[in-house]
Amino acid sequence: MVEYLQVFFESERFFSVVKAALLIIVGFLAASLAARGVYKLMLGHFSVHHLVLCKRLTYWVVLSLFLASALRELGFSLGVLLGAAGVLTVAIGFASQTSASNLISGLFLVGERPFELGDVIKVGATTGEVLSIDLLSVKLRTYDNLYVRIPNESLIKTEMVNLTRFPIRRFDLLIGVAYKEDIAKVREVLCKVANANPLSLDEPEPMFLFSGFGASSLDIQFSVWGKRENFRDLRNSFQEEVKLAFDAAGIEIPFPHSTLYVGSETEPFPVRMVVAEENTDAKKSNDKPK
Amino acid sequence: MQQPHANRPAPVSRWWEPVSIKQGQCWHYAIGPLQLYLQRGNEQWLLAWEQAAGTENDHKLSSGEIEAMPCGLPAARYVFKNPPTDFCLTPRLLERPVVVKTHQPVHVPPGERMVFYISSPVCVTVALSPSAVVLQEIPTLRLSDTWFGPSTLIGELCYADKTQARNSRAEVPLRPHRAVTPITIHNSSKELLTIEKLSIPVPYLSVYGLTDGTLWTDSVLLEHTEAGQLATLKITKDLPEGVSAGDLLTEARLVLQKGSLVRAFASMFSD
Repeated sequence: MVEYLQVFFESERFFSVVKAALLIIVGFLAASLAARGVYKLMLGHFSVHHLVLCKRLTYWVVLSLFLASALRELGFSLGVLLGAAGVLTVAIGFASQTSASNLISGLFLVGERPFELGDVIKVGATTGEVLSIDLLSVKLRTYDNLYVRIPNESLIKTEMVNLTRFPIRRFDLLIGVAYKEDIAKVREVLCKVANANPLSLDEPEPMFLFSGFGASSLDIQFSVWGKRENFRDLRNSFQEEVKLAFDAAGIEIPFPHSTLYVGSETEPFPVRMVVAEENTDAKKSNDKPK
Repeated sequence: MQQPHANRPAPVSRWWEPVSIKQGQCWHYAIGPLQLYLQRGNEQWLLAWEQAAGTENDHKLSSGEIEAMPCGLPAARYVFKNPPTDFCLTPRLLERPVVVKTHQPVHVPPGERMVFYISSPVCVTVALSPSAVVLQEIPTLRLSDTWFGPSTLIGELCYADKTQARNSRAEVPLRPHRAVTPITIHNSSKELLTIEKLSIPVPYLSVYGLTDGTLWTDSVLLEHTEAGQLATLKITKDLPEGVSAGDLLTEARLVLQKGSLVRAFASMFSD
């Protein structure tokens, strides 16, 4: 055994293995350094999205070159390997349709750029900040701090909303007022609230829309614009201020009403009047210790 | 830098002069709608402020010692091994352009050149000296946000304000919290220029303080040509009348590139 090891250590094959190992180690280091170098070189000139993309591309290209050299050092012929890989690809292709589909979708996503790193997107019921855009999936951090992985294929197929693409956003307040209210007065109160709120943009002007006659209320849509970063604050403060302003102006926000109609043929509903004092007395007698 | 005046009311008209206060002393400043409270402690400074609601037209200016910091007002605490002895308030213009709506549309006929005096509220930079530590930058008035551009995709975020667009200097009211910008509008096109809204590029302007307590900015020349929709903006080297280079209080936030085109007139962009 010792002799065998001695022969192995002295053989050329041992040196090839050492060389290959060194190439792989150096490859990892060089790829990492090259990627960082490219990142630093491009910093400030390109968007974060492109920076990360170039960094990853550099890393994998450099690493694969070193890996190929290491394989060659070990005696593998790259041509044969690639040929085998070709045959293997067909076999793997059938077995890993989903991965291949995600990969291709990933390439389309990178090309199309519907969102960038740091954007907030909504996919189905998930809303979150984009942490990374990889070849197979996109990773999100939701507002309740969950890590969500969305396969690229589903992103390509389904509707995706980018919430932070444009600098300003519109908030639609849907509100109903009682039938007795004067619409002109409601409009005036809403406009005053919007004017007084510094987060509500002066321009584009708030929009008042009388949506129609609802079941229990006159339905109104009042849309105000706000800075993207202030959207949540605007939504909270504006609704609160509208409620206060409506209370101050005596404008009623009705809850759903139901009217029972029993027809003219039937007897009226029997209604019993309860005197307040009688009610209090009854309550007192109930409260007495037994 | 001017010499701080120790433990006596500051000359109210020039509120940007440094004030020296003793340990444990509280100081109150009212600059228009902004109420500012400062206290020097053993190893700390406390700073509290509030903008009184509905006091946009408050032109009050007062300065003096108070018993204690107001209760219920959150104060920021700055700690020092050896706390500085003086504080200094400095006016600075806002970080975004201010879009002013004229009370009624102003028409400038072709070839006309007219000066308008338009004011915009300033921010107050609270700094401690001699260490020159900036504690905070506080706007004297919280203006509403607005979007200025032809569509919701193209444009920029600005602050919104209203103006009388006065064209006589004598009519400009003295207000401690607003800096006046003389804007010369030159209509070099062949058509009537109607102005309903005007964007003042305040981040590009410096602030000057006069002895009477008024604040002024650099003069601005906006030239409207037929060539395009954008107006040529030029900050003229001629300072407003009565203002000299020695009155400079703060430099502009941004440096204007030569021959800059800005969105200045709203009527040309409204869709």
